[in-house]
Parts: sequence; C-alpha cells; structure tokens
Amino acid sequence: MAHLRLRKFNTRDVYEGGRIANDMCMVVRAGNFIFLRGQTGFTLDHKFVGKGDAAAQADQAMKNVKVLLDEAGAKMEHICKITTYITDRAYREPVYAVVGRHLKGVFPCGTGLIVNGLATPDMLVEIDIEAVIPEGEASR
Amino acid sequence: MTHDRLRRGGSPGPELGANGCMIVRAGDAIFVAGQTGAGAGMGRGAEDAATQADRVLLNLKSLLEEAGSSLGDICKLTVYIDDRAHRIPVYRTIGRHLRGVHPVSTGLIVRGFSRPEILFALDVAVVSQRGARHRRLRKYHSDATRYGNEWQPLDCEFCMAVIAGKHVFLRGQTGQTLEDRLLVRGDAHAQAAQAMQNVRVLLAEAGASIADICRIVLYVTDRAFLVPAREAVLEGLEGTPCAMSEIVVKGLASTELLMEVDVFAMKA
Repeated sequence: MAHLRLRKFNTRDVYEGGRIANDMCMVVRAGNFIFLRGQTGFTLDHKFVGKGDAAAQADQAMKNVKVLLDEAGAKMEHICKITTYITDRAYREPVYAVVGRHLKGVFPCGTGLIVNGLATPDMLVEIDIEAVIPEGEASR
Repeated sequence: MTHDRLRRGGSPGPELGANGCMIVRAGDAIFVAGQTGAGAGMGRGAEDAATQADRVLLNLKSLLEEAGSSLGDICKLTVYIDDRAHRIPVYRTIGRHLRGVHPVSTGLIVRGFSRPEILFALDVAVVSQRGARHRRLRKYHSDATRYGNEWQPLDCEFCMAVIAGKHVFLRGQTGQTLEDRLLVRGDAHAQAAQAMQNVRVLLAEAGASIADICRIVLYVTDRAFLVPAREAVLEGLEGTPCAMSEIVVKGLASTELLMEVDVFAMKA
C-alpha cells in the first residue's frame, strides 16, 4: 500500500521567497509508522502564534501534533520519540513544562538540543515526533 | 498491544524527566532517548569528551539489552557535539564500541544540550533483527574516506545505507559525491543537488525510490543557505510530498560542508 500523505501544501505558498511549486505534507503514514513535519508556532493554517514566547509556540506545536496524529489514525499514546529543538537554553524550562503537560501518561523517549536556528528567525522551538500505531490497533 | 516503555521517569532520569522514558519497544522498532554521559567534575577537554562517549555507549548497550536488542541492531547514529574539537575523541570511542556494526551516521555540531557540561549526545535508530539480518550497503572505514577535503582519523566502521525490513536509513548526505569528492565549494544549492542525487542512487541500491521517502531533515550551517538548499531538496524530491524539518546548526563534519540532508524512507 502506498504511503498516506496528509495535509499537503504547496511550498510556494508557505515558504518565504519560495519559488518552487512543490507539494510537501504535514504527516506521512507508512504502514503503522507516522512521521510528522517538525511542529512549531505555526498553526496548521500557516499562521504564526506566540512571537517571542517559546511556551506559547510549544503549546501550538503540541496542539498540531494531536490533530495530525488523529488525522493519521493515531493517538498521543502512540508517540515513541520526541526531539525538541530550542534556540536558547533559557527556553528549556517553559517549553518542557508545556510539552510535559501534553504528554501526561505517554512516557516517550526524548532528545533535547539547542541549535543555532530553525526555519524562520521567529521560531524558538520545534518539535519532531515519531509515532507507531501498535500492532492490532492499525484498523484504518 | 501497547508499546513497552522501559525506565520511566526517575532522577536524573531521561530527557523528559517524569514524563519520559529511556527506551520504547514498538514491535521491531526500538526508540531510545538521546543519551548523554556528563558527570560531576568533568571539564571540556578531549579526554572528557571521550569519557562521556564511553559512558553513553556502555549505557546504550545495557539499555538495548534490557529491551531484548543489542548494539548490532543499530541502523543509524546521529552524533551531536557542541564543539568541533570533540569530534575525534567522541568518534574514536564510538568506533571502538561499535566494531563490526557498520551503522549509517549523521554528525552535527549544535549549540548545546540540556546542561552546559554535556559535550556530546547520541541518538540511535534501532530495528530488531529477527531472522533476516539488516543489509548494510557500501560499507566503509572512516579513515579511508574524506570529510569535505579533510582526512579525519575517527576509526569508525560505517556504511551508506541500511535496509531493515521495510525501513531504509541513509547516511546523512552532503555535497560530496558517492565517490567521496566535494566538487562544489561555497554553493549550498549545488551541494544539496549533489546530496539529493546521492539519495536517489542509494535508495535505488536499497530497492527503494524517492517515492518511498517519508521524512526529511535538512541541516544548514547558516540561515543564508536555507533557501538555496531547500530548493535543491524540493527539486530532488520529484514531487513526492514528505514531512520535512529544517534546522540551522553550528557545523557539520567539515567546515566546507554547508548542508546535510537526512532521509527516512519506508518501502511501500
């Protein structure tokens, strides 16, 4: 079965200065495996929220994660790995408080990195999620 | 059946503290928290970096064994250091622990980790080998290859692609050709175009294609390289919509490399 590629968007509409008209997507489901585009303070309608506020951006990112997993037939409980990129160590505490609240009871593996930047200078945090739908639950 | 999540919470505990765990077993796929090895009284010297790497590899070995796996199941490494000076001590330690495994590898220099004393973190992608062994294509020894135009005595055994069931993991691709030549200097678009050309060849050798790509992570060493590198990546995707993340890092394996692309594919 071909992979499911959901919430496609045209890169020319989303990336600043984008001149290539390509479809990318927010989520790919390959069998039981779910791959999400790195989530940030951008809503799923491509509006940026939480300028200068890492916690607000993390909250938006995790809200997106929940919607995207649901659309792919998965749940928060299926998250296996979360990679959290922040651009300054000062954001760690506020971001992790928000992420922890969204992940209550899930217990994923995490990796936390401080990087020099993300796709736009306004982005202070990006969250990468890998999820697997357990065998026997893959009904869709 | 729910996933097994081992070593939840605790102190000092995993990356997400009370909300995280060290290792998740989801069928044959094994996910591991980013491993670090900083301890009290450690400095920032080469021997400190080597000591941290040694602890990480020992911890990783016991974690994988707890989950019924082993170091031999590792498909991909992502090696994070915060200073280029740590590269040789960290890699030499990794190489010693992973003799004969031949994972693919991506090496990144980042700004930092959860605590300032951490010099190195390791992410691994692991798939249990039940029955069929993973196929590892184009095995190489780090010391017989170039990073940019440099020779680096890392003493690691790696490969260019790992096929683990339906999963295909590639070495992070850069402007270097598969014959190990960096033909384009100072041009992020041209380097990314070469990287995507490599991706196409490697996926084909792995019995997959661009259409099987699920996820891409594009790393650039300066924000100015993001648009040109992204354009070449998008061109190289030949219309396959995938889930992409973009990260600006402090550095890559050599200062001449302006971008690197990680590709995760699954055979349909």
